[in-house]
Amino acid sequence: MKHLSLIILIFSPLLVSGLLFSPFFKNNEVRIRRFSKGFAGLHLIYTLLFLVFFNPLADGISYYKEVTFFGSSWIQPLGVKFAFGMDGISLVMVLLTSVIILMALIASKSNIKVKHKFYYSLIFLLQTAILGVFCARDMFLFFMFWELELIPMYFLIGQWGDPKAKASAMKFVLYTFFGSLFMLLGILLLHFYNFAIYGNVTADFANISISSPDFPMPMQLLISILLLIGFAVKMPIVPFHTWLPDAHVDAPTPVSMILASVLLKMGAFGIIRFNMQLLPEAFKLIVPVLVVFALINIVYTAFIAYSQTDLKKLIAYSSISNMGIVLLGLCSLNLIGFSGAVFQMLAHGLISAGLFMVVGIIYLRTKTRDISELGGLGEVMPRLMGFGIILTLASVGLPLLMGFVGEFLVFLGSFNSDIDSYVPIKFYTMAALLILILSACYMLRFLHRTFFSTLLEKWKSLKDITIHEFVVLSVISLFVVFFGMFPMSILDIVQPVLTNILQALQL
Amino acid sequence: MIDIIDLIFNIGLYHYLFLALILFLIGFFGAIISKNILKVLISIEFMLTAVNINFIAFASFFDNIKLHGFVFSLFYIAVGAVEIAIALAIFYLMFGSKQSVNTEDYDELKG
Amino acid sequence: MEFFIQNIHTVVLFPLWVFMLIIIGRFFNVIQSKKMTTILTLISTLYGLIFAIGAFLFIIRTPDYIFENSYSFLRIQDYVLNFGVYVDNLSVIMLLVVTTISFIVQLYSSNYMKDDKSFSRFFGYLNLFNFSMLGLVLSSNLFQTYVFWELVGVSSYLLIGFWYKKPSAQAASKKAFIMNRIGDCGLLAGTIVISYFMYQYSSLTNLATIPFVNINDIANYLYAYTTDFVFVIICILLLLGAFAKSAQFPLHTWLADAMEGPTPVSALIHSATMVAAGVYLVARLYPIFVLSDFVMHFIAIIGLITALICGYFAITQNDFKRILAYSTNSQLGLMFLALGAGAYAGGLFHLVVHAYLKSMLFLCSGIVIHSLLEQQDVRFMGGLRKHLPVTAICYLIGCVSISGLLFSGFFSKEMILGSLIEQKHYVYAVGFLLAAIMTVFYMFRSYFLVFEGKFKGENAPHKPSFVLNFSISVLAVFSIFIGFLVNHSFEKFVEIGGNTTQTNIFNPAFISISVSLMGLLLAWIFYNTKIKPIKIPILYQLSYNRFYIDNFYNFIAERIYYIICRVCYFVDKYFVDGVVKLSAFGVRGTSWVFSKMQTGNFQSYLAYSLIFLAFIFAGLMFAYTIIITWGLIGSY
Repeated sequence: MKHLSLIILIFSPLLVSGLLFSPFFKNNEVRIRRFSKGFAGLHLIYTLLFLVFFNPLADGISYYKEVTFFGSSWIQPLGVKFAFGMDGISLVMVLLTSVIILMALIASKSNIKVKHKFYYSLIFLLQTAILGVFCARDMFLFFMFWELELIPMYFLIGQWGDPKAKASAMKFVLYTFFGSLFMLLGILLLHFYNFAIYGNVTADFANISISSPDFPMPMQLLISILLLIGFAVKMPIVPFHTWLPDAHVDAPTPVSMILASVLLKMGAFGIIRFNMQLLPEAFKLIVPVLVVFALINIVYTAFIAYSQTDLKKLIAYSSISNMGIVLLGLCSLNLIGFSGAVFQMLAHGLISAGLFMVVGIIYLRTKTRDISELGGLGEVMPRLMGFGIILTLASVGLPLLMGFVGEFLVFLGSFNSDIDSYVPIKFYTMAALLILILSACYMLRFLHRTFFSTLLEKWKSLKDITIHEFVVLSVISLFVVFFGMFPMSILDIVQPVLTNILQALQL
Repeated sequence: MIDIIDLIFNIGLYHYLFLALILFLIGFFGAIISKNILKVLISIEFMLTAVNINFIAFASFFDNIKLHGFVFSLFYIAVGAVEIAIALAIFYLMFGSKQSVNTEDYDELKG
Repeated sequence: MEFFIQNIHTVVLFPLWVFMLIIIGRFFNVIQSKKMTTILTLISTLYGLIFAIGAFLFIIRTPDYIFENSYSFLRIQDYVLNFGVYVDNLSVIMLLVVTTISFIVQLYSSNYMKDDKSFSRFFGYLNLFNFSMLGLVLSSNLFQTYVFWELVGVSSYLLIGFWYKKPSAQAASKKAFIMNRIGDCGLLAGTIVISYFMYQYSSLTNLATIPFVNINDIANYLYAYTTDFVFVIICILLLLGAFAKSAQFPLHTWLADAMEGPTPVSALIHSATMVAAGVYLVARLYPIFVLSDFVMHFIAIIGLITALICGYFAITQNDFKRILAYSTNSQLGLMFLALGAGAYAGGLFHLVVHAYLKSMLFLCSGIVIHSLLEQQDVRFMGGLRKHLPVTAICYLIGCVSISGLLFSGFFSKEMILGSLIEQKHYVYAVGFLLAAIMTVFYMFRSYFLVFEGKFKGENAPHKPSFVLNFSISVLAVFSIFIGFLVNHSFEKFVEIGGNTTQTNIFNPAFISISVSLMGLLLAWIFYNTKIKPIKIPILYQLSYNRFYIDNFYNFIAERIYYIICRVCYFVDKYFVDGVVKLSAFGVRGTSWVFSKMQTGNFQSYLAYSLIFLAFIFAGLMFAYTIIITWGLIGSY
């Protein structure tokens, strides 16, 4: 549909972010909150319109829009265009973002007590940045938005979180920045070599024709690895993951939700966009090493998660484990594995948002996240326990809930993978299947120690969940159950794109 | 023997440069070592003089037409005088509160 | 009759709908009366029962199967995973068993659990279990079986941990879930491997979901495409799933602890239906397993070991439900023994008979426990025959039947024994008889300890209500007459591949009946007369503590696993994060060094700056000369 504009979709939150500082809202918390939630709801409806009019089988990029400045591209001498577009994967990620930000905003009511204007405008700035990353059709634009999301994240983690959140925020920003340095180097090299070999000064995704015999393989490999380091910090791939437990634990609940659901997916999305679509030959060479890292991600962090006493850290490590499954799916170079990886991105986004919400509610009521101090909360908060059980079972991979489809497709895909000839992927898959047991161990530890067994005296007077929290949790649970039972609704959208990417990889 | 006498008594460019160097070093080490601020200021004047000698030496040996070096060193003498005046003014104001000419007492920029 | 077959998927979906209704109602605090919940649940099960009977009548007339792969769950180019229904002889039998027992247990629970606060939650979970079990029984391919397999495991988990405030209950549910998960891991691995072979090697990619219709073809293909070793590994992976679900050695410890759940749960899930799912899976995949002798012997030996050791444990237990739990475990072992040794019909018949028997026994135990006000220890029970006559009679029927003396148990036992002797598996036959003696002994021990002797309590136990008595009587009737009704035709009905050998059941009958009577005599002597039972200390300790296997598993799970996890965390915190912290420390150290240069003494600043300038100058000179010399060399 011609009238849906990606520019409006991406930049309207930025506008609202600035609008929040106008005198209309002078420090009226209720007004700010309601306006933000209303706008987020409208934004979600607008995004759904994009979904409704999306044609997965359309050739090329849908909703493509380039903003030209007096007839020339943004930075003409470098060939950088200010262009946005959406394909199947982008659409799914944009939907996830809009939903999660709305959920986070609803959950912000009880978690954010000071500096409201600043907070809500930062969230909208963050939304613009994330949407920009998912929709950008130009390398430098992608990088610009990638760096842009660091600014609001720094403040969001540092200002409203724990007292020691400032150090974690600093660690998060510096670590991601360190990764992006390598990514920038990779992008610059790519841009330069595209010019050197083909004489084509462009940074547009569609015009970069890298994968050809003219481009020396060592250079392709180097660029691919540089880009990968940038995404590895974000995704996170062990050993670049240590910012995640600190950042997740110290951030306030809504920010944790956004961080776990959406930001981690940016890393995987970047791998698909850059490593798979632009440098497929080099990706095939990196895969043996990457698969090992995926396996370590899955199993190692599952072990660590079991030994945690801090609830949020436990969920944080489980996030890393799930992203390991995504990585395994991406490495399988197989349509089944890809579909599983993309589905798992969506699934984990929703499930971890829900889990962080649950832990956040517990923290809000009891002021502690320590497993040894909690216990028997199911008696006073039965509804929360109900949601906790649903989300735990989803995280563990129960069929007919979302977590199963992604895991199953990834394992199926990597077992059937063609890279069998140079990577012992069948053994890796069999080893990765242990995650079924390990995830059950730590998630049940979480569930049992907080909700079951005897109630301590000091928790006897806790209240059950409020309407806002109930709405958030029920919407998330609804999605989890619905997409678990009808996964083809998502897979039909992303499959054509993935098929195309795969064709490029087979060449 | 003849070469050494030739070296000592035939004044060439290098002699002037050597003089300038000695003066510069005297000034440099004086600036670093002195415990008295006024001694530091005087040592800085030394360095200034040494540079002036350098300019004049080069000008007189190579530039016979436009004499840029002489002109520059005249300017530099004037600038040097102004510089010392300002330095002494600053010193005077700081002495007012510190009551000491010992360089070790002037450590506001420490750390 | 076709109507029932065409719409049989509604049987699976109806309980799911009731479950969601109940759970959503609980979330929104909509008042749901107990009557409403009960009636809805009973209607859904009755619906299933009617359809089961209809399907049964249909299948009897047309000796065929009905197969339907309707809903496409996942579709990735040509790899399609479907959900569908497969109704053949085996599923119809299982359907009948599951629906009847479900119905009776739900009827029983409506009365038994009426004082419980979370009545509706209990019935919600029962509906979830119904849905999962019916889905499992009717599934058309291995992939769908796996989906419902996990769901059944979760319902069991939720029901065992139903009274979640009791620490022992939640620990037991955790153990059950994790052990089931180990099995699920194996089943999923096996499914993926078989699917791989079908998808990559055979030309029929529709076999990728491993539909049970084509199980013979799949078995043949699999055997052709894989080496012996790989084939055995695949079978063992699949069997791991069955063993975990049916509590075979070494994954048997969860079943005894599962008795923490309410008694109807034990009756429904842990005696009759869920634990039979493992046997059902083996029966379904039988064409694959028969192709390898090693695998068949493996199944039989594991079954035999389980039967013997669980029988051994049951002899000394003091908790009423535990005795019955180990008895279930032991009988399951016998079923696996039968299947592994080639007595396919015998094993399945025993499954059906045992389901009715065991659920009846458990329901009786529930009545006893309830009327003695939650007393579960048999040492404090006794003389209840006068107070609970119906219960005592039903229990006696159950004991006699399960010992193979009369009624249905006799027929099922003889069928198995007959097949074993016919196929010349004499070792298995001897093991079977050994397990039979133990069965008689501990079952009658429990009967005598509970129902005979003197009544040890002060007040008379309160009488069970009509509903409870009615339920167990119905089951008793079933257990008496099932044997007579279906004995001869059963073998023809379930036999796959068309072997219709009629095992002669009366030859070994004399041996086994005499053996059982010996066991009965021993139990009578020890427990019904004044003679004290002989107690050999070391054997008693080993039996009572269940070979310390439980303790060993606890040790591994709590100590060793926790140590591994702590080590990983330590590595993560100090080595991986250590690098990050080291870099931060490096930056801080460097800045510390440079800040030491800011002495505040301008003379040092002057000195540093001039030295620095000198270095730069020297460097420039150096670089300049190098460039010039390289330029000179380059020009040659």
